[in-house]
Amino acid sequence: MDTGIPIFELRNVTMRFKMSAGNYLVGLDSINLKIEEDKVVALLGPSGAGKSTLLRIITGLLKPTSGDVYYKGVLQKSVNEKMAMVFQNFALFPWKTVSENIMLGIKREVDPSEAGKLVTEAIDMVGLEGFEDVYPKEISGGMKQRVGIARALVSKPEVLCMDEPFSALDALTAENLREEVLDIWSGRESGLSNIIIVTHNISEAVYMSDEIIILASNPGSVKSIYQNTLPFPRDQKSSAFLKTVDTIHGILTANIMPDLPSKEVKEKLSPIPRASVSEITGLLEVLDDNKGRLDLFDLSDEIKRDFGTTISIALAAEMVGFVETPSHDVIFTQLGKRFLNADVNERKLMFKDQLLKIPLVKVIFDMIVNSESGTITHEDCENFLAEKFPNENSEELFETIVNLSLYAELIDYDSRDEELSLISQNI
Amino acid sequence: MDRVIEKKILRFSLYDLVVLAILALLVWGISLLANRWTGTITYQASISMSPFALIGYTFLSMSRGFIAYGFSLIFTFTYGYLAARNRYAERVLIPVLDILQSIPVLGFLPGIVLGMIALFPHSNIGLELASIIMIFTGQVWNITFSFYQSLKSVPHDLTDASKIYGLSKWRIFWTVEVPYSMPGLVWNSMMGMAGGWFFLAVCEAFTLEGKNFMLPGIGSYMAVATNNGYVQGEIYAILAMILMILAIDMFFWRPIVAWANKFKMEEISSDEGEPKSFFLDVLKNSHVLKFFRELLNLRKFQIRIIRPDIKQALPDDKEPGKVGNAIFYSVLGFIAAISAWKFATFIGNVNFGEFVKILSYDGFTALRVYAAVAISIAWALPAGIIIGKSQKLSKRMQGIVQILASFPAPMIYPWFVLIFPQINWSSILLMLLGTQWYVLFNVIAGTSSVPYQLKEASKMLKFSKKELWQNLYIPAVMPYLITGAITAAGGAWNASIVAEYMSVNGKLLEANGIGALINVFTNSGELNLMALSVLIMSITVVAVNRLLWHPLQKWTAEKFRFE
Repeated sequence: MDTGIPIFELRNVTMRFKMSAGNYLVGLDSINLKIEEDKVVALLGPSGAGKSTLLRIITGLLKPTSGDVYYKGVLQKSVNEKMAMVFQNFALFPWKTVSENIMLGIKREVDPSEAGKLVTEAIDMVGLEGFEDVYPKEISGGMKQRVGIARALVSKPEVLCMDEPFSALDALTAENLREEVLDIWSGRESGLSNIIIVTHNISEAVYMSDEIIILASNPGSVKSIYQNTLPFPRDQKSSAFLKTVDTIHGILTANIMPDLPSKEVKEKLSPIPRASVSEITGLLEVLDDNKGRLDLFDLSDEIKRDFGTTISIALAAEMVGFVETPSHDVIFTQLGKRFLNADVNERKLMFKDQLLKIPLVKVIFDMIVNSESGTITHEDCENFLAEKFPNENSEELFETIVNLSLYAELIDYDSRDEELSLISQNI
Repeated sequence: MDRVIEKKILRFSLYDLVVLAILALLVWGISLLANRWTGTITYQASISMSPFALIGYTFLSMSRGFIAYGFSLIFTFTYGYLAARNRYAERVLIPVLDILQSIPVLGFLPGIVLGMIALFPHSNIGLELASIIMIFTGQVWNITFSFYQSLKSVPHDLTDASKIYGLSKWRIFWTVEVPYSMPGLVWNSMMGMAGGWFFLAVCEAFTLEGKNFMLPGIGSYMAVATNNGYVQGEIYAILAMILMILAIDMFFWRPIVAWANKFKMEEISSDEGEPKSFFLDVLKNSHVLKFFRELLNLRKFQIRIIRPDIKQALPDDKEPGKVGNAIFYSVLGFIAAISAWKFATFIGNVNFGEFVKILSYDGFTALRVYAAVAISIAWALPAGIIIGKSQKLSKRMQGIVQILASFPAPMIYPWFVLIFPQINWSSILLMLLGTQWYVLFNVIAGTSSVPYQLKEASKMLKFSKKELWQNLYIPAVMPYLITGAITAAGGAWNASIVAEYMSVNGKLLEANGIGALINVFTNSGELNLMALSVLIMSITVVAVNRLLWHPLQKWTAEKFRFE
């Protein structure tokens, strides 16, 4: 079976998205990737790393801005016939019954009696017996995703692509389905060669896959590929499993939160990660409840946010000097402690002082001070950000800065005129 | 640095110039209006065919449209509020609204004209008001329905919150209920305004009991030009109409749409880009208006300080008791019986032959109406899907289609009739001209509501083009298509008044249909026959809606909705 040719290969794949006013956002930056046959592969990364975009490029749904995709050594030019996809929100046709939905997955040349047999087989495989003539809106989320999986399998694909397939389900159902998908894959009746699963859940990646491709954001790129050799069946409580999770976790944090000397971070003009004041305050509260120190992984569990979001909030809190992040821990600073114990007005004052120490905020503040009219427009500011940080979403960055500054009573934003100005007491 | 300052000053003066020019135009227009309204009554204004006179006529027609729109808003706020907030009123008002909607403009004409002239026998005010109210009947019903539906769906937490803060009902109305209804209100107002222009010619030039009435305006200018076969004049009138619609769109609707966008209840803001209005930018940047805005803000602020709301709104959510119901229904039954008896005596002894004629003509018109709807669906379904599928295309087409749709089709009827002189058949085409847009609009809206993931899934499932339409787009637009067809059919029924009867080049064209019949009875003053025809037509429209369309709409909405 092993011919030495990878099942697919990405060469220098780059994806750029057009933003407002002629600016571009680099979603994926020259990705090179080879995947061997007979493997379950997880694409793991924080939100914004372009996991789903990468999956759509692999299937041929999206054409990359530049670079090529090869399937079994052949250049791929359109949607790949040998691949099927399972979607996060199921993507079922509400006006078709369960079996009609599955029937849609069958290739047109198959004759009707054969098609009926295939549908029955697929229904059998995912355990949907008795639900054949029910409409999707009448069944639970877990059942819907079973329909999605059956519809994908019925076409006998070589590669099954899954885009966060379990994230819209409750924890128990997800657990159950993960195992069933693995059973189907290892049973080989399906004829599947590979599964590619997009996820932001580290345990899910470790539980299901042989190979974990770890992506980093801004711009999306492959940071590391981890060969997961844990034997099946995998026990999520075993120490080997937990150790693997920890290792992956370390790789993710090391790439996203490099331990640079703090002075360097503080003087460089760098973007502010997306976070709101209430998120930062909430993070401090959670830290306070946990003796002032928490591992990022536990933190994301505690605040029930995905890993990427948690990191953004922690990094933003670090920028204003309320926490420090040595390796993958988050700990209180003296200032953070004081901030938490302060009353509303003191908090605002402290926040203002800290915000002005961030080079980017200072630059924008100075832009306003030095302008003729004492105001700068939303558009000008966003263009400035887009120019400085071509890999960032300038719209989001603008919003983050404005929201933090509004709280600190540093800058005023008139959403009618879309202009930034100074609050009079700061002039 | 100097250059920057220069630019600022230039921008300031340019924006203000635009605003001042518009103010000047308004002042001139108002003086024109005052002249017209205070003049002694002239039933038949002489219409000058000079294109320069048309400028003034355009302004007069426009002022009628706007005053009618003002009435529409007042009516909508009171009627819609009563229907939504009082359960007894709702049971009467909503069916009545449904019936009113199905009555063609000529059905209102005799009552309004005779009543208004009796009220103001010596000045033009009566005639003007009559014309305005007729335009109002072309605008108002959908606006009211939309407002009522929005009020019914105001989230409870919003009203509960305002009750906790002790807001009076009046304050809740303006700070919660109206803003919440704004997006639907704005959209339906645009459609309503367009509906009002549709019957402009009828509202400005009509015959009642053998007497001709003529009010200066684009509609009457067009009517005279058509009747005399003065093609140049027809072109002038159409140009004036287009310019007026474009101007209203740019200076009135676009700023309002851009402004109303802030009332959308959305958790996540969409990427589609907010509606932009050049004129709203001008207004925002004009210092003249900034001054007024500040003044207004100051005022509002003061009022808020002076009037603390201590009075608490009493909840009136008690379930109606059996006694209440009994009283309600017996009063209702009494009123219904009296009106039925009054109506019967008014219609009087209609002979059987006439009754049969009205019924059969009603049938002919029904055939035309549904033929027009079928043709609309035949072309607008594929066209709408093609447009709606592409975001770029639908964005570009939206504006164009909107303008096309708001152009009153009756203005170009005479030309169509010259090409297709068989009015029994060509009237189908004429109905089509005005009503196909409703189908198109709805199909476009339906297509763009298809979730992105389903489109991707279709690609992964390698659907052929035919399968893509069969499995995805056609089912997805079904509920929208039905809504569009209902609106189109309603519009076509009303349009039969102008599509089945017209005078071109001094010649009278008349189709065998109930629309033409209503015209004939109005002209000859056989008001009892006219009332009977209008009644039969309304019953047909309401019955078809209740028995066919509404069940169909419910079924498609249930089966084809996305979760």
